[in-house]
Amino acid sequence: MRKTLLKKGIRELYEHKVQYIFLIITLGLGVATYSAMFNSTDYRIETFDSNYEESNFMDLQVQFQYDVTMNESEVSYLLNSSGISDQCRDVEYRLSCSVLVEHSTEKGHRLTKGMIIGHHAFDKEGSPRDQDVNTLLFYTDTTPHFSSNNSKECYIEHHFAKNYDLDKGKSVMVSRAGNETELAILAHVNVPEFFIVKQEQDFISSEKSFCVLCMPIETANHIFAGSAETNETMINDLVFRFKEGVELETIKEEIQAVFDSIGVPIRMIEKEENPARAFIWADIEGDQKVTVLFPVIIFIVSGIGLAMTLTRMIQSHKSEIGIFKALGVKDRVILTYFLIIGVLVAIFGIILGVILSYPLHSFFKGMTDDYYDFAIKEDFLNTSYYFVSGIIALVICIVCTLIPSWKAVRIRPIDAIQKEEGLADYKVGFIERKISQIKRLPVPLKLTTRYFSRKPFRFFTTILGMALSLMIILSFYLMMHSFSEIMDDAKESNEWDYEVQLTGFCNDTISEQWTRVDDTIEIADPGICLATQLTQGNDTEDVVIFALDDIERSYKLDLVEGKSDDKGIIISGYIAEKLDIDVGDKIYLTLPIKEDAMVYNLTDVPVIIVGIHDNPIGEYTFMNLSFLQEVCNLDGQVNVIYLHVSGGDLSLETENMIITTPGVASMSSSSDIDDQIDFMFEMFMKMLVIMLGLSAILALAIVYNMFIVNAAERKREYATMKTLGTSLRRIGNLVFVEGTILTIAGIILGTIMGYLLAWYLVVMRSSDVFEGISLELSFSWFGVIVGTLMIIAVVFLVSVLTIHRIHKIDIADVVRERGI
Amino acid sequence: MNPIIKLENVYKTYRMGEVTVHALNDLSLDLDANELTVILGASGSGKTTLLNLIGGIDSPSKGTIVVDGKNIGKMNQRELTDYRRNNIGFIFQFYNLIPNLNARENLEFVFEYVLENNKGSKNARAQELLEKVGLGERGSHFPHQLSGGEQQRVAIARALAKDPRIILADEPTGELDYRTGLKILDILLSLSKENRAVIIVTHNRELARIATKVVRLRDGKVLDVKKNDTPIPVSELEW
Repeated sequence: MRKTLLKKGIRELYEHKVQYIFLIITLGLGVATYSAMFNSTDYRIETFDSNYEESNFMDLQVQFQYDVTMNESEVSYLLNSSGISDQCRDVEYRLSCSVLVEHSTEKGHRLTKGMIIGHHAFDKEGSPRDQDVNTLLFYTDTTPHFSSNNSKECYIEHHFAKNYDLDKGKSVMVSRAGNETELAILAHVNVPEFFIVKQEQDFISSEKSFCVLCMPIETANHIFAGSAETNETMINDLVFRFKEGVELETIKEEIQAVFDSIGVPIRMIEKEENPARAFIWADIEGDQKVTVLFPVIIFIVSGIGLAMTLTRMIQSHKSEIGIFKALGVKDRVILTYFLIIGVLVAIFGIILGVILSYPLHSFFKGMTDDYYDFAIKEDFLNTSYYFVSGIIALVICIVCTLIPSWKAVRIRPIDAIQKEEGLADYKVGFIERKISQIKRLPVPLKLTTRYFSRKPFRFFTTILGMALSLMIILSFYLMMHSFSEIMDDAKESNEWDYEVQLTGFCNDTISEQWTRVDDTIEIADPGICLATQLTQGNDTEDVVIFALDDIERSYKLDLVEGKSDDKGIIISGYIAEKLDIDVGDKIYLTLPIKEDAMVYNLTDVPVIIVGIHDNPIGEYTFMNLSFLQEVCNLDGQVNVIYLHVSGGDLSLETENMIITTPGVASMSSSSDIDDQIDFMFEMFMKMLVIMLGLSAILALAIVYNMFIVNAAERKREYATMKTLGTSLRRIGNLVFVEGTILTIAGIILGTIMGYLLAWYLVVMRSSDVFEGISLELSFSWFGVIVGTLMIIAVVFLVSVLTIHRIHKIDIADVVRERGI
Repeated sequence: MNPIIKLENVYKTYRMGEVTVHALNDLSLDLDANELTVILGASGSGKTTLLNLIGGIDSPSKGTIVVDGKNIGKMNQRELTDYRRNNIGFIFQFYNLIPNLNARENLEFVFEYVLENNKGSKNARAQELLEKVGLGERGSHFPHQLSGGEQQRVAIARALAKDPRIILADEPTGELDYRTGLKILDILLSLSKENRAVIIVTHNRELARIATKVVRLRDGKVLDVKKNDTPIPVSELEW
């Protein structure tokens, strides 16, 4: 019996192949997006994990402050004698320091701020060795070793090297305190601390303006000390991996105590505090919270499409059910038959989904690889997602098949045989009655609205299908649009062309030489940039103060309340809301008050809020420079210079001059930020195209099935119209009127749903991911138009196909069928 | 007088899997206006196929069907649509009304969508036709709110809405009770007296007694054609 049912089920699929193909596509897309998107998120996590694991990433980094170095053997003795070494699995002694790197670019030789990291490249026997902690990862299969322990060779950080085409065989000139050393590049490496080139103060990656070079510790000693080089190996940077069970806080205290006892100032950075690692995990967390919702939504849409079509399929088999029942077939057998169809659809859908998920996964994987470009790219695929999505697909199919077929087997066989949708079932609804009272309503509208009021479930589900498809594309677009608007706003609020950060507080005359030498520098705006805290009662918020004499020259203020006043602070709307404060209120600002040369005392200073700005970066806080200098006893002292350059770009010579000025820590241009934002836009557009394609296919599958089901059900009606002599054009009009009504309703509902989902994703879900940023949903007509055009195109295409199907109706056969 | 419908050596064959079915087999027939023709035949004799061919919803495999001087067997789909629109009024056994249009709107649909004639009051014209078939008061009722006979009368009114020269009725009383069937036949008989050719296809031999011409079909061929000079009134029919 089951074999016969299986055969019959397969024949049913074959007979209505187009309809089932669309059904299978709908289901397949659900399976594919679910498994591909979850897999690609996992791929990222696995890749990050692998890179961090392979690199034996540190548990703790200890950096000596203020250029202090120590003899390695002395440090080793201290760690051994204090028992710290016993708690360590591995410890790596390194020498790292900031340097200037001169390298070739298309425009000429460029100077870039950077860092060298020296490590023990050879073991005691003289064999090449890898670092035990923060092991460098290579982009080649074989590790290119240094020729000797004091060779003038280096590995170069991959992202920076890629930007300037600094490949193996080329060289860079490293200078520190006037000593220059030329280093030949041996290979590109992924440096664990800089998997993303990001330092604490960076808002975005600074891979173009920060160069990391790795070399033997002896070479690093030579660069660091210059003529003061000794035979001793000096170190200033330790990276630890501790044994299992070691309490981090306890060992930190022990390390602090050891170095305190010898008067060496240290800074400890925990694994999770590493800026690159923190950024990467925040990125994943954000994606997990926001973007993974999309496969779930796509699955829901697939499920709805499937439910609609399978329900309709079973209803259309009512007469067959009647015959079965009249023959004495048990209900169980009838249910099994429909179940077989449901399971077959599920199986084919899952197979298609698995096949489609591979290119989709490769696409998402490619985006991750493009963006992060890690040395180790895991070939990861979690089969459990296929299993889960397969189970979901199967459950959807079984539920969608069982419920309507169970309802169908409960009808009396005579009713099932006599009429599929007889007059006995026909009920005049309220809407239908009301419509019939409107005399002047054109016939197509009457037909359509009454048909809809007669079939509200199908009417609603078709609209819902369209709306959900539109919702996917629109919410995704609006979400991305809002994020890019926020980034754009943040970018555009920078009126400066270059930001020059100083190593500490310097005299504000530092930039005078630059403007004298290069007249393209129109203005050099000295200022103070401080990361600090605002306190109101028991609540504290982190802020970044930008103090300038003319704030609006370097930052667009966009004041929404108050005014730019010399004696107060301008905070963001975000902070005002968080701390529940307003213009005129007094708050406490933690500021470093200069007590003596190099002695600063952190003090909570009361300040009045004079304005509230609209910048989306909520941490941004502005003050008058003279006022801040006065409060902090920093007369004439600044730590940042904003340059305004005619044409926007400085010459390479001027850039080199600025970067080599004593006291300059780093320099970044606004065009670097633009480039990164553009890169993100590019990725966004790729994602958008994929989402648009997915939504279009889903919409096509759902709308096609609904139109075809409608056309099949109304075959007699159309055949009668044709028999009466109604032209195909006229029948086409009816189909288009129906399509138009459905489309309008779908677009209205989809736009509302898309907007609400985007609002939820941006404002509700993302607020804890993007802390400190004022997230607002920005509406875009372009997104609505793109989504709307997609739906219109789908409905138009399907309408044409439906008309073609109506055209092919054999009216002679149809009009003789029994019906209403 | 030239016949309004002339069929010459018409064949209609269907392929059903590997079997070829000859629904009509070298059939020739002349039908005139002002006549009520009843085509009799058992199931499978080809009577509905004949009706479909005359109605232009099917095409012959061979032979010619000339209606009003035009060979409809050579018409393409667009021409056939025009032909049906301008010449044919169909009445089906199962009425085939559009379920979600009420009786009046089923007629208005023909004015608006078949004849594409929006001049004048469609409503008044529809009402006139409904009154003609005795359903003046039932215009706002939907098909499911009407009895079978009423539905069939709406179908006749719909056929008349185009003022066709030929009315084709396929088992028009097949689904109706005796009394309702008589009413329908009465209407059809009166229509045949308005310079139209009314052709009824049925297996009910009793209906032949009201016809002016009776055609008997068997195995897709004309068995005989009889003129009935003394048709009886509809009220005398019994079955």
